[in-house]
Amino acid sequence: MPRNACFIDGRSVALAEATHAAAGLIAASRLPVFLIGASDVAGARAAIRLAACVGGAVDHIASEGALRELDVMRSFGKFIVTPSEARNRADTVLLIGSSLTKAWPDMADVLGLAAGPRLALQPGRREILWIGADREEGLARLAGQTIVTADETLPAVIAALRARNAGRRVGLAASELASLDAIVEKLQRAQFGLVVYNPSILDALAIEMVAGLVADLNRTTRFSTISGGGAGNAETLMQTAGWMTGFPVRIGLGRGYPEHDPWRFGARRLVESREADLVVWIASNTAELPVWAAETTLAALTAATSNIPAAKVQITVGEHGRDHDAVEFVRETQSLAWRRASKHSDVPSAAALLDDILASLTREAA
Amino acid sequence: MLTCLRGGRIVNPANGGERVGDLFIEDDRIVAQQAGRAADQTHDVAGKIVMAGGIDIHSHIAGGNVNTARLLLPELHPGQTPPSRDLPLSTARWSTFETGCLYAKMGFTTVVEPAVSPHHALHAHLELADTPIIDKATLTVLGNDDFLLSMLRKGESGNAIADYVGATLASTRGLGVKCINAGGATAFKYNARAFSLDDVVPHYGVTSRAIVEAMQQAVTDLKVPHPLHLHMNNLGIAGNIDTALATIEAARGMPLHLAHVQFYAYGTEGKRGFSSAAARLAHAVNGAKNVTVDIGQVMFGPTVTVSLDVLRQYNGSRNARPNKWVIFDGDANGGGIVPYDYRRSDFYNAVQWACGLELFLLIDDPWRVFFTTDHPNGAPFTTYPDLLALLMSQDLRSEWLAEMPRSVAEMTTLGSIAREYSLTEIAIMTRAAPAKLLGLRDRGSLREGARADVAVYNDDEDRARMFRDAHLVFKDGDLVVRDGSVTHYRAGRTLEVRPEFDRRIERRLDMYYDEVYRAPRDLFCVHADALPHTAFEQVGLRQ
Repeated sequence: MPRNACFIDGRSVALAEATHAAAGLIAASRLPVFLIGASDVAGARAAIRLAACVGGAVDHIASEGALRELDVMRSFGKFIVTPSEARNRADTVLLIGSSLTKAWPDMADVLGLAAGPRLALQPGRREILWIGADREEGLARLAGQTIVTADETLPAVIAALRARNAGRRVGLAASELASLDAIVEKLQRAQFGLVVYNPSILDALAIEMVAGLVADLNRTTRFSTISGGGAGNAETLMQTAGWMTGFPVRIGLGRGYPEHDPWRFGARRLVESREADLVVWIASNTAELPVWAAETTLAALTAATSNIPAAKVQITVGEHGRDHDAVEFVRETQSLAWRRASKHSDVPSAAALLDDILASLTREAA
Repeated sequence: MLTCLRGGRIVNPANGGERVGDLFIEDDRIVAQQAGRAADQTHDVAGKIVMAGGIDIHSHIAGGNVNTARLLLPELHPGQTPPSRDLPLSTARWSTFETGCLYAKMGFTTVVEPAVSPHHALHAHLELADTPIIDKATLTVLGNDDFLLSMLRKGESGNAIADYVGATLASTRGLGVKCINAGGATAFKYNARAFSLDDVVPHYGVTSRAIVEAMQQAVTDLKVPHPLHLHMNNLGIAGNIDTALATIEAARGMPLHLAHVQFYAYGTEGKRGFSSAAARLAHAVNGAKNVTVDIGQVMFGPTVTVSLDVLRQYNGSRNARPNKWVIFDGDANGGGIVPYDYRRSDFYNAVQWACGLELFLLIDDPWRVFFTTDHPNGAPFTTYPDLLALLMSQDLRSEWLAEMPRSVAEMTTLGSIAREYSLTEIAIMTRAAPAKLLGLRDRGSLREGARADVAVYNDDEDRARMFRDAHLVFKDGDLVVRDGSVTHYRAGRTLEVRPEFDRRIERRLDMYYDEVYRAPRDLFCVHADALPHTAFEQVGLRQ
């Protein structure tokens, strides 16, 4: 399929015709939901502007995980550290949960777990501790003290660890207590400690327990956290929505002003309840369209090069950072960063297309 | 197009003081009356007050930490007003769009975001690009960064340090340089819980004083118009007046701007060990002609404190209202976001409020004291009209003071201060002086040739109402506010300085980033290509 392919009902059409058709669907929609699979800041910005114009909702396919992390922050609080600061400073690293390298494949390298902290007052190797350890995982060879437990029992172990750190009694066997206490002793000896957890196996309360443990440790020493999952591309939308609307996704603009409600404006719920009658799928990479998104009328702006049979309208857009320059959230720097196009092309960006649609709707309304 | 503002009371302290007369605008400039040429558009502003557009030198309106605050506190800013069709998202509370509109409504046309860490500069500029109408600028934060501290540890030359500062200003597109608790954020990473002017940063062996001195020198050497903008050590602590006085001494007569000094005007008197030392601080500022200050006034109500002084924010997190916070151990300074609710009935908050007003009123020279609430740390900038009214009326201050705990009056001198700011003094403090401080030669003034940023106010006895909703506001000669309502968006500019420096420092920085951050330095640089909607304007260097 050519990189500039456009379709209406599976029929190949010119870009202008497809754009016109997409604009028509959006204008006619009672409640369009702008569902982002992947986007740079410009794409997110254009989607929000268009949603504000037509009274749509905005969501990201990875928002559930991002909101889980955000809920902990806005109900309790969080210590956060950049990977580079952690690599330079952490003399003690507490890993929490299995499958960490599945969630973050190059974690050990990015955090320099095998090396010592460059800026520590006393140079030496890092102390790596791991609860919820998986001995099959490559990280196991780096870890000193470990506690193996199933994912289901991990929250209880975190709670017990927090309790022991606070000097409280815990109803465990002596051998289990000894393991916990050995870890607590090392945590308390840290000069600058790092906790990395796998959020995909922890619910919000368990993540809050981790945040609580870190807050407790900070009473006497320094500790901070990195989420091993990361919100990925959802963070780009979170940040952009934050300054444009004051709120994180999920956002509704149907009343003319932005409202934030993780339940009301969840794209899947809006589609499955038939409240939304149009999904505008925006994916400026190869993010996979969720099956439920095709349960209503679908307009797809995607960098994927395969035909989406369920789409009423499909327009190929450029891949951000490849076909066009882009700004997006980068986990390694914990910031919005600039990426030059690696293979510049004329394929239009999602932002340019969404801006064109907005301009055409604004013209019609004038 | 030639526009005439007819018959207004023109308050223009930068050039000629006050007069009643006509003011002419052609395109984006103030011009002289054109003999024999009728104006294309005339506004009758007889009886109204005409000033240059306001300039805010210190307001946290954009950037990663501000955005985290938005996400942390959705309950603080629910909006329920749809905007007009031409002003999308302008009623979205705490959005960049609302920020631009609210400033414009008050007659402010230039705002400086004063705390941009180099690694989040792109983020800040992206937000500023979405802040309509007003012109913007940023201050680049240095003083807790490993590269600088390592240079100081190694005893590198002032020239090398200036090159580094110049290169960082260039890559971040800043208008000036700020230090925030110099060395303190890094010391916190080594578990320091307090950090003063002569404390030593672990690992690097340098004091906060040495960092500040080096940065002052670098800013001077680079001919950056705005002096080093300093957030001192020990913010918010009882007895920190000693830190403020020592810092003024440490400036050694060199130009230095001290930020939000209200938060450093605390003594230890009284049964609670917390009192106003504002009179002592004002006395010191009056005697130190090299020093300028902004106040960081506290006003009452819920807000959020957003600061790159992560050590202070951690210590303050135990008083968070509501009880949640984010402590970010970021590269260099990092930051902390701690919500807070300043209460009129709270003794400490009321003393803070009084301290700020005392400073405004006891510092003699309006050219050296600047009007800020350290938005949002002392209060949101939307409280400016109420604050201006307080500065202009002793009776109003007395009314407010009477509603506070009686012990507050005993711990401050506010009740005894009769001074009331005149409109000329307000115009100096919010227009002429900021332009001078920042090196903005065509702003803050209504002289011929100046940029046509003009605010017209009703001469209302209710000064808060007067300053809340300007009658007319022109940005670059374009009428953007009429009777307190924004009429349309326009894009503002972003002001920057581009000092000269030895470009060889960039190669060294590239290698440093490859090694320490394992990422190309380019990733963190603010490229114009990343900001297609931003027009940068270079501000001239000091002669």
